[in-house]
Amino acid sequence: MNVFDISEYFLGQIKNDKSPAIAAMMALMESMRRDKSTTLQEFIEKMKLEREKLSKVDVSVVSVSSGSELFMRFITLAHQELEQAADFASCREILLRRGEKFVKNMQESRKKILRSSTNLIKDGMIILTHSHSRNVLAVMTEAVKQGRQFSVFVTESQPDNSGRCMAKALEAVGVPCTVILDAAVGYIMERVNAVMLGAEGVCENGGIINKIGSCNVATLAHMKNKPVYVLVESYKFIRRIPLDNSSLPKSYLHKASVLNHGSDLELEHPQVDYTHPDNLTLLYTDLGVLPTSAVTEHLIKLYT
Amino acid sequence: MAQLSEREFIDKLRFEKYDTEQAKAEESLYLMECIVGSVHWKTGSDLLNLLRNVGTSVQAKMPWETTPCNMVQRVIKIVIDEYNTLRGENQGVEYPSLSQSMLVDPACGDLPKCTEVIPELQDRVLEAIAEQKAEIEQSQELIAAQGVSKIHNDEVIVMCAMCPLVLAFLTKAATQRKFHVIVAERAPKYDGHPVAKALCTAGIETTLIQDSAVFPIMSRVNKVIVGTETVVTNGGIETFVGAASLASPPKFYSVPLYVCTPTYKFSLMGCEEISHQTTTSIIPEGTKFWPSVNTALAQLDYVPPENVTSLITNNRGIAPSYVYRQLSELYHPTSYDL
Repeated sequence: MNVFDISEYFLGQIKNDKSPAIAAMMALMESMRRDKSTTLQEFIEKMKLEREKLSKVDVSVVSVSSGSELFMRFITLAHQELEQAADFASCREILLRRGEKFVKNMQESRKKILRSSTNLIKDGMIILTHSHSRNVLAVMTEAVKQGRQFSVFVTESQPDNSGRCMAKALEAVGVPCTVILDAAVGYIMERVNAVMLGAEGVCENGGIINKIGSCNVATLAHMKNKPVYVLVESYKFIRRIPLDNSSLPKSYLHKASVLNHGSDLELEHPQVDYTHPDNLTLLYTDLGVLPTSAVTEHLIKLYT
Repeated sequence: MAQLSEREFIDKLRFEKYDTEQAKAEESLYLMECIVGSVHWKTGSDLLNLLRNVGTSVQAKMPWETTPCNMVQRVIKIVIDEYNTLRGENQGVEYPSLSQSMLVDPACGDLPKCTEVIPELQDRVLEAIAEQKAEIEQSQELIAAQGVSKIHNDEVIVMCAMCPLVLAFLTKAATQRKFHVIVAERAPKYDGHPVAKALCTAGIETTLIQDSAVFPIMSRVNKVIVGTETVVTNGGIETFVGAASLASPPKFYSVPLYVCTPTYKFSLMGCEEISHQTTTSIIPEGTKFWPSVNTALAQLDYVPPENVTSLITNNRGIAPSYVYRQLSELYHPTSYDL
């Protein structure tokens, strides 16, 4: 019997360059299709177990957990069709259909972000970005297609050097870019016109959780009065308000394999950090251009 | 009044035949009333397309005139709301809920399809437009009525630039309070002078100062009150030139800055779309400049939301971080991309 391994499918999708949350949703969809449960309770229990398996994979836990939670809420939302379903089989059909619709819409969210954010990049601008963000790359590609001339500084973003991948991708599109040391952000900030960041998660107060080093970039930018624009999809909104960096949960900070290893966490480097909303100017999302104060309202609307 | 056509309206706007933003708002509402009252449309979608065309042509020809575009957006929302109420749908929630937001594209610029022909739609929309007109006419009084609660006795207030709303605000408050106003004279137009005269006539103790004296005087001031041309989506304001330098000293000395603005000035323009239009019309005739000298005189200034304390609108004061909510009540999300 071919046992479906959700983690393998998930990693396969990530290799296809899908964002972690979308890959998680697709993996859950695939698991739903192959599922053989006969009652709704069994189905929901099974889905819960699958989600736990996903959280053990060494990929950005923040966006995966928010994406899969939103996915489950959406498909099981009390709906006229569901209440009229006679047995579990038709129920399952409805859930599958809703799931597919949801995933299809979520894949369009990057396009919606592009609509509002391409106007941000003007000719002659110097932009600073941190690490590798698919959204920022998409916006810059679109701006180049529209014929704008601008240049980019990318931070190297240790420990995995993802800034260099970003720089390579940007050069392939034709954007002049320079890789700078993480420590050189303060030095370069006076030359920069704007900062563009992606995010792994957006907290309820408007702050963002992103690759380690984003807090430095945003705080320095705010000090020098440079605008900080965050491009993020709405499925990354999480229901959490961290008070400061030390109140971030361990599951966000360290990879799953490191947590399981049982080593002393005090000696492990964190993978993400939290940026306070005061340091951010605007959030460009698929729900529109939001100030940081609007996130909590949208979060309530998303989860009810 | 005779029927107003779109071309006449745009010509009037171009040749600056309107004194105040309020006049522009009223004329644009009148133009739309003519469109709604005409027989060129059958379904809701036709009407929305007609309105959208008016909006896009005004925006294309005069991108800095935000008030007519705001009014077009407002009427579009009115039409969509009336259509939905008549069709019996329950549209109590302004924002779509989870199921709707995941399926509807809010930023796609496609107005909802209103394809049923409903005979009462025209009357209902005209009624709503008349209500909107009444609201615009009353906006000055409503804002002025809030003056008494915002100003206390023996306060020192700074104001700048000729703004009928702020003048009304202060003169109404002066009937019950005794306070002192400092007016910056605002070279090279010097429109601080008629403002000071108007305030004196109303019995308020006034002092006229030069623009450069604003910073040193700010430590003795209790509040700053200004008017504006437009409120942008992030809560900042686009207003008379000199406002940016007027708004920085209050931030430094922690003095509140109040902006008197009626709801028709709330626009969907983002802060990155602002341009300081420059003009050379202020230089007196016959002035000789060497050819190597460039002159640029800006007409508008942008004040970021961090420097604004509160926006005083028709019925209440709102914080700049709340502006996005006000916009969602005034305009329909699918019309943001006109």
